[in-house]
Amino acid sequence: MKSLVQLEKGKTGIVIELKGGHNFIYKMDALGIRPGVKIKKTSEINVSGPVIVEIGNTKMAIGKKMAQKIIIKEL
Amino acid sequence: MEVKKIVLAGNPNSGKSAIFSRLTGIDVISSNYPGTTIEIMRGMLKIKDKKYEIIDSPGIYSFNFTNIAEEITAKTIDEADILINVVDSTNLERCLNLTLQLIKKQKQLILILNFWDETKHKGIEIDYKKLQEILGIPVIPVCAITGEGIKELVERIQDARISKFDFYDEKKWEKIGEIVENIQKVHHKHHTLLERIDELTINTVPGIFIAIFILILSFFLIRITGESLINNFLDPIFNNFYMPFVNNLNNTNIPEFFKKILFGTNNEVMESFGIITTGIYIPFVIVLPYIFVFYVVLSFLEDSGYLPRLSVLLDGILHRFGIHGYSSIPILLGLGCKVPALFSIRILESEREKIITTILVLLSAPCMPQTAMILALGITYGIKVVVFIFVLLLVISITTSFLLNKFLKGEAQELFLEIPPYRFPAFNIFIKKLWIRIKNFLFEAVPLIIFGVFLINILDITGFLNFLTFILGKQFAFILGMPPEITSVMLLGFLKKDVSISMLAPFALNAKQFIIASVFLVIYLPCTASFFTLIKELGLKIAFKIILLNLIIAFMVAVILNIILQII
Repeated sequence: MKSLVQLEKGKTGIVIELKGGHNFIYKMDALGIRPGVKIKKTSEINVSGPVIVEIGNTKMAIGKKMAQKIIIKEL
Repeated sequence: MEVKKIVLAGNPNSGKSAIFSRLTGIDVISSNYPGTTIEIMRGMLKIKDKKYEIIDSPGIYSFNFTNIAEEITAKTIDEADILINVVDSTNLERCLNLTLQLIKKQKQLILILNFWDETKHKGIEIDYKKLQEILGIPVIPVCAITGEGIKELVERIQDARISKFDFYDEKKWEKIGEIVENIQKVHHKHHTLLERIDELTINTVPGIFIAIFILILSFFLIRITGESLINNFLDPIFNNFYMPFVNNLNNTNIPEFFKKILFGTNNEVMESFGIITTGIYIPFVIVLPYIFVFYVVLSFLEDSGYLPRLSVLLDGILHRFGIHGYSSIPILLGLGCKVPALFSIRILESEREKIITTILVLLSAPCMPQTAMILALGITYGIKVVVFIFVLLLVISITTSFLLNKFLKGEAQELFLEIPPYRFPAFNIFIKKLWIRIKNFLFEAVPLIIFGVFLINILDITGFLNFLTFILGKQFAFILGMPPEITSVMLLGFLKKDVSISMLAPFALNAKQFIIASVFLVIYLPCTASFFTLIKELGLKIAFKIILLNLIIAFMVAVILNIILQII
């Protein structure tokens, strides 16, 4: 198990846990990020920039600190 | 007769504003990035003899709002008689999350599947009739850009129903999963060209180089096209067709006082400050071409979907200044006009972030009318002087926000942004948007520019400028290293900020003085329109603090520059 930040570029994982408060979990949920969902990391921006992921057809940028709180299991 | 309220509700960037335009005929700005709409728009739709009020709202993902724009939407939805849920067909699963929450509102509902044309390219097949059965409400596929399906939408508004679809909140994603499984088929498609471009632009390398290239290219496009429009087109028209008419008028028997107001006090078009000489030349010959080209370039960046990618690329860097990547959108908008830029700050979540972004919007670069004036006047000192002014402004704004980030409590918010697919800008939306922005300039800014020219002229004719210069000129001039007469420009510049730089024209400043005066005039106070926007968006107290800070910075910079440039 690792965080979304540690996942390698181009790899897919399944969300295991969201390590954050109620607001954080709600915010993620609104865009469909929740335990059990497949998430693909397409790229990341250096200089502590965000992680770019694909969930279904949606492409999203998630700030690095936020991405650290998303725990996934690599597929 | 009672007018029913129809509210358009949906995820950000699902195309609500484009649908709104189609239904009401009212032109509103739509772009390809989440958060384009930040205010409620209202319009009318008449179907046979029934009247409806159509309301466009900022997009939301759920009812747990994090910014003011979303809060407004939640309130508006509660007021609705009928809800039109605008769904992005290419993102069905995610959008249905909001749909289920709208169903809980127990209001008459219609669902429209926008971007229907894109599903075909993406290999997505949706059985919309089945969705209609499952939810028990009308489901209509549409394409807002071409207008396909809009007629059917209008015809079926009366069929809106309260959905009887029942589910437990905790099970909503399971339910959504079942629905999607049931109605959607996805065929595998090969990567399209746009997806390949996407990969290139959203990786650090080569993304950052592409970004730098695009920004530099945009700058040169704006400058070169703007300048050649002026020199080859507008200036000749002004001199060959308009001025002879003005000169004829000047030779008639008008009282001297009116002549001064109309034609100004000397023959140089940039120095006379007559309403029909300088008052026409500045907005139409100097500023309009730059406004036009700037918005062509900006609209292209918006509609293609490049702006959110730029935000993503800049996120890491902007974090050092205490803001996240999305703030780059207000900053870019601010290169055109500060007013829409300040409005777009609404989408940011924390007050801290809003303050720092506001400072960057106001300080990092002048608005397009001021830029045009700096280019027009500054180019006589050489391009180096102009570049120096812009670089200096950038350094000042970066330093300020860096310091603010250190001293303001709290830390930068994290970016959480949906990245829309690249799209080819739709010609009709592109033109409409360009027209809205030019119209705003023509009908809102131009009268004020002409009024500003008039005001300055009157103050000059009545001797008020001389009086100001007499009491404050010496001290002021000493601090800034300027001729005393310039005091009046500095003190009154904020009344009509966009013309203030043109007021420097008659003073025969040297390059050093021009640099100090321009930088000072750009940052010392916001123009009256942005002043009121600031108060509206951030409240009186914060607005005044920001303005005071700008004023202090302007003086400090001017004094320091005066000393340093004297040594060099």
